[in-house]
Amino acid sequence: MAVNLKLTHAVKDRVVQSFQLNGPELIISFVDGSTLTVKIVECNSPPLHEGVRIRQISEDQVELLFECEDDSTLDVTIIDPGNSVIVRDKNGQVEYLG
Amino acid sequence: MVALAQQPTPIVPDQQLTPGNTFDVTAEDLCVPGYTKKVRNVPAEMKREVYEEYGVTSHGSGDYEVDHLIPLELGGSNSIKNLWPESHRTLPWNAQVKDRLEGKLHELVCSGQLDLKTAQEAIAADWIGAYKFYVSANPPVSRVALPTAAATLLNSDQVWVNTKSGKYWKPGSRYYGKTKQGEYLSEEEATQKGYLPANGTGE
Repeated sequence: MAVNLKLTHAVKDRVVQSFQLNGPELIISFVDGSTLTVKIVECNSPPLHEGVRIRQISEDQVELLFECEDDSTLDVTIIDPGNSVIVRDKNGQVEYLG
Repeated sequence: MVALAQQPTPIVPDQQLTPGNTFDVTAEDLCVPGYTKKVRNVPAEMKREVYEEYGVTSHGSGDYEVDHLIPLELGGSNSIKNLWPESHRTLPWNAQVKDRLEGKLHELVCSGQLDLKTAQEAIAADWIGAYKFYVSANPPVSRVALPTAAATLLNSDQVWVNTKSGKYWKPGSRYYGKTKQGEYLSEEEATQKGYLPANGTGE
């Protein structure tokens, strides 16, 4: 798996506040008010815990792997490698699309 | 050019393979300066897949670009459903011409003159038709793939605008039709758009 540098740069060191799974949509809210939304086929691991800090995000085709500072991980299968992830800051401004 | 002659040269995307695809964004999102820099680059592996699905097994440098049917600046996504190998060499319709349409549509959307969805649908359904409707009814005269002498002959009543520097060159001048980025316009149109003659005279 290769690190997605652009996405990692966008959310590195952000602390997870909540984790919601609404059907095919996974929404991770961060303490700083930003959100990361992922359209997924399935979630292949337990959810991230509140308070964990994002270290990096890697990918391989439709696989997306979140790695946190406490070594916990989140592994999801995304719907479309070119259109599945969006990050918005606390004001709703786009920070990442991919 | 040899490779190009042996390969398909798609001008319009196959609607089955490339119907177009958009991110979940609004006009407010994409009219912010720097918006497209937030979008992930298309990975090389995906570009290879695009060439493969269109049957392009080899091509020369500069023959094609893997382009977004609905451009990033109109909310287009990096999904393979929005990508196709667009020719740089075909005339009069090619990637450079589509870039002009994309700029125009973005301008219309961000000035509130055109609804984003309408712009997305227009360019996805028939980008050449959209060019004729939104940019010019006449097909553009392009420098691409034309020897300079032939291009000069075809465009003798037009100036060459270096769209990067904002200066234009007249036929016969040193950089006429030769800068990396540019387009042919009538001198009147170039002036109206705010372009200035290179070296004060365009010669």
